[in-house]
Order: sequence, then C-alpha cells, then structure tokens
Amino acid sequence: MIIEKGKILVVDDELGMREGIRRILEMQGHEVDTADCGHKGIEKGISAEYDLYFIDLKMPDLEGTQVLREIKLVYPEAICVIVTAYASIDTAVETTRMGAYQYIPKPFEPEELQILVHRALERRWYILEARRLREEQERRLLEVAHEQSRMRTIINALDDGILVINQEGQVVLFNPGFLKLLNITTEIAIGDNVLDIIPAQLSNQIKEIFANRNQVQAIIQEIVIHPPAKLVIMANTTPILGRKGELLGVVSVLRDISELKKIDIMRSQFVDMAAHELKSPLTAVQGYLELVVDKTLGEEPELYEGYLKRSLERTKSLVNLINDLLNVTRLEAGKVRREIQLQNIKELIDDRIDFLKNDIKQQNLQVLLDVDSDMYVDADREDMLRLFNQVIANAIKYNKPDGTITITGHKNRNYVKVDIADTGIGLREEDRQRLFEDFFRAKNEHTRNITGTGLGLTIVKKIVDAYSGKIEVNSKYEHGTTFSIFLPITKSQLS
Amino acid sequence: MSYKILIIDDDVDLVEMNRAFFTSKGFTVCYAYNGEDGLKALRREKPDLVILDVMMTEVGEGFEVARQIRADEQVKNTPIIMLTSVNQEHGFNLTIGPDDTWNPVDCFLEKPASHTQLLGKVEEILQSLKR
Repeated sequence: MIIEKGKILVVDDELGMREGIRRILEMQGHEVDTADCGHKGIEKGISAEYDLYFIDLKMPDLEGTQVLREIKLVYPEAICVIVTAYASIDTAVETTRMGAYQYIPKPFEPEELQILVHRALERRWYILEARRLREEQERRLLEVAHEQSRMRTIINALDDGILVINQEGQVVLFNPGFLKLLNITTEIAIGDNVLDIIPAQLSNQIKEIFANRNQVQAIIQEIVIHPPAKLVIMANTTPILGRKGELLGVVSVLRDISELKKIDIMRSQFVDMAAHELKSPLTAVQGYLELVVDKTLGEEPELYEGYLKRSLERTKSLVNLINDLLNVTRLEAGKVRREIQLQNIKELIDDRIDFLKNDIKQQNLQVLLDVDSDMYVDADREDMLRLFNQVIANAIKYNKPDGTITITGHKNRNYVKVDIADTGIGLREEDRQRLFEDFFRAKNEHTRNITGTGLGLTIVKKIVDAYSGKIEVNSKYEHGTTFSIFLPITKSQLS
Repeated sequence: MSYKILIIDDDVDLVEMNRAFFTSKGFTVCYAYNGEDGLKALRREKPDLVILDVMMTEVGEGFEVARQIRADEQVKNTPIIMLTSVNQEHGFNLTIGPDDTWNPVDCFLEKPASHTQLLGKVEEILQSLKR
C-alpha cells in the first residue's frame, strides 16, 4: 500500500533545486510545499505534518540537521530525506542517526527521486496505518474501561449485596452492599476464598450449586443473620453459565427484607390477638352454657340467669368485634370507597347523640353541647359517623353513673376541633399512652365488667389519619377523659 | 382433702365460670385478674395448681407470669395449665415437648376448652403429683 497523493515539503535555499523537485513530484500527482530557508522550513514543517520532507543539508541560515531535529521533535514519525551536495558517509550516518529516513546526494536523476519518494510514501502509509490501528485500539480500550467503570459504579451503588464466586471458590466480584449486609469487617480481596467468612446458609447455597453442576438452578432462601439479630436477608444464588452451558461460577444477590418481615410478624401477631379476643368470649359463653345446661355443675341455680345474661352480652360483643375486625382490615387494605361530601360537624354529633340516647339514659348521663353550627369538613359520612359514634360511645361506656359528657366544637386555625370530655373512670398515664394500640384495653377494677373490642380507637385513629387529622387524649385517672379530634376544615371555609 | 386451684385470667367471665365449675366439683378456688395479683395470691394461698391465661394485657404476659412462678423458690413446683388461643405463640418459640427443660408450664390447653377437658387435665396433673 502506498499514499497516492502525498503532501511533501521541500526545504532548500537553492531555487533551482526546490522547483526541480517540486516539478517532478507534482507531475506524479503529489502536493508540494516549499521553504527557501531553514527557519521557514521549521515553521512550515511543524505547522502541519507532511507525508515527506526534503531538507537541504547546507543552508545559509541553518544546518539541515537543525531543521531535521526540530521537525522530528514535533513529529517523531516524520519521514525526512536529506538532500546534500556534500555526499559523504559521515553526513549520511549522522543524519540517519538523527532520524532521517534517507539521504540523496546532489545531483540526482528524476528517476532516482521518484524511486525514493515511492519507497518513502510506502513506508509512510504503513506508519499511518499503524498509527490508526493504535489509536483505534486505544479508543476501544478507553470505551471498555469506561463501560467497566460505569458497571462498577452501578454495582457499588446498589443497596443489594452482590457476590460473585468462581469455580475455585474465589471472590471475583463483590460490592459494598454485600459487606454491609453481612456485616463483614475482615478485608476481602479479589481472589480470596470467602466461603468461611460468609454465613453458613449462604455458603451452603453456593456449595450446593457447585455440587449439582449438572442440574443447576437458582436457590432462593431467607437467611437470618446473627449477629446482629433481627436482620433477615433474602439470598438469591444463581449459577453463571458459559457458552457451552458449563458452570463458571455463581452470583449471589442479597436483599435486606427485615422490614417486610417485621410487617409480617405484626400481621400474624394481629391475627393471634384477634384469635385470642374471639376465643375468650366464646370460651366464656360456652362455659356458662355448659353450667346452665348441665344442672349438676355450678352452684346455685339463681346464678344461672346471670350466666345467660353474660353469655348474651359476650355474644353481642363478639359480633361487634367481628365488625370492628372487618373495619380495621378494610381501612388497612385501603379498600374503603369514600364518598367525599361536605359534612356539618354539629349535625353529625347531634345524629350520634340521638343514636346513643338509650345508653345515655341508662347511665343517667347529662350531655352538654357547645358545637358551632357552621363548621364543615370534606369527608365520607359513614367515616364521620363511625368516628364520632366510637368516641361518644366510649364517653358513655367509661363514664360514671350520673356523670356528664361535654362536647365542644370550634374552629381552630384550619381545623375543626371537637373535644369530647367525660367525667368517668379516666386513664392511668401508662394506659393513656397505649390507647391506640390494636386490642389494647385499659385493665383495672373499673373496666373489668365493661366489654369492648379493643379496636374501637384503632378504627378512630385510622379514620382521623385518613383525613390528615389528629386525635389527642387527656385524662386523669378516676376523674375523666377528654378526646380532642382535629379535622381539616373544608376548603371553602379556609381563612 | 380438697385441692386448691388458682385461676389467673383478666376475663371476668372466664374466672367466674371456672370458679363456679370447679367449686361445684369440690375444689377450693381462688382467682386473680392480673399477673401481679396472681403471684401474690399464689404465695399467699399456695394452691395445688394454677390455671393461667396466656395473654392478658399484652401478648405473652402469661408466659412472664409463668417464668416468675418458676423463679420463685417457694412456689416454683406448682403445676401450671396455660390456656392459649393459638397453638404456636409468635415470638416465644415454645415447644410443648416434655424434654424442653425451660418450658415453664406443664400443659397447654387451647381455647375454647370445655369444662370436661379442663377438669380432665387438672385431675391428670394432680394424680401424677400424688405418685
């Protein structure tokens, strides 16, 4: 291969020689520049890289060797031919030692020049081709390096832990997430054997895949890490297969699922508690009925009627509990279809007091109402009725006979604030703090005979939360409790 | 001689119904509505057997009471029948096997247990004590 159309610079102070060379080379189709002295030669020669340089050895202003040196400094691969009238072995050796490609003694025949140029441009082509290949390779390497560092950054940024192990059990790759999740403090280097450092359950997964290399498949397992306890990791170990399906290694992906586990445990705890709350009244009812049916059991028959009454009461409370359970799960699942409409607070409270009037009468309670009649919220009517019903029913249930229920409702900035205060048995501070826990019921001598599901306030809290409101409780044991409900006022009434 | 049973349960109806039943069967019955009072009653009355509810104010409170009974030199050998609602209590990891040395109760009984079942267990345990 050869450069067909070379770009050539001729540096010579002799006009005849300059133009002679130019003419010959241009006739061959090359592009020729000239410089008539050493300084101009350097200037032109380094302003751009020529395919070939002709440099006269003896010029008035500079030695040709000086020009050669300057050009070679900038373009080490430049092909320079020294033109000299003083042909001698010494100058030849001298200039080639300095990097000249060839020298040509003056005078020379056009054919001589042509042959030289041909060879020189052939060489130039190989130099350029080599350079192109080198640059391309460098560019590719750069791309590869860039790609690798990008993958590396992504893997390192993952919260999930990644561990790659080869057939020899050596670490090929791991990320900080892996070290953090497994709380590994020992230093690990690529090539280390980590099977003894990682939890046994994980190393067993890896070993199992290596052991069953013919029928390899992913292994997914929950791993509980000790210590720190309460850390549950989902480990997913997958074989890495080569082109022919041969096992090259394994990759383990670890994910912290502790929070999900916690929710899981809370859920099953809720189920356990629900089972307890359902079975206790059932046991009582069953036991009472057994006593009444089998007349030989129990004591005086006079007590039987009491047992039947209690059975009835417990049965009713069971129905309430089941309803509450359904409400709680419904609210939790977010399945509630809410029809948001303008609700008048006073109207809602009046409605509930009317609904509960028999219970109020039974306890001989006095209800004092001071609720503004012009307060509205945007809410679902059912939600609001359930909310106020629950809190007012509590104020009745946990009141003392002949007590008072005071309900006040006023605007409080952008909220409607309703206080429902009773003069009842009150709450101990430790009970007040736990009041909104599922199934929690204050237990003391006053509450022993009061039935309840322990879910009423759970439901209240969920409703209030659903409307971005809040509920507060103030209480003095044996003196009474006040619930303060805050609900966002309707947009149309915002000040 | 009549046996004395202590019932520790926060459910007033369960206490009353068991009280009435065991009294009619000739037992002497004492009871308490919470763990603290239960332990006091146990030390005071020295019953032959305790019927204990697993959950009182909170999950597993019954287990705590059982542990405290077992830790008290004076009363630690009192047999305990624990009433539960579910077979496996979460977070306690209890196995019911007799070889489980730290298991603090003698017997679990799942609710709702009939009087006959409960009486059967009580008599079984009291009989085994005699031997």
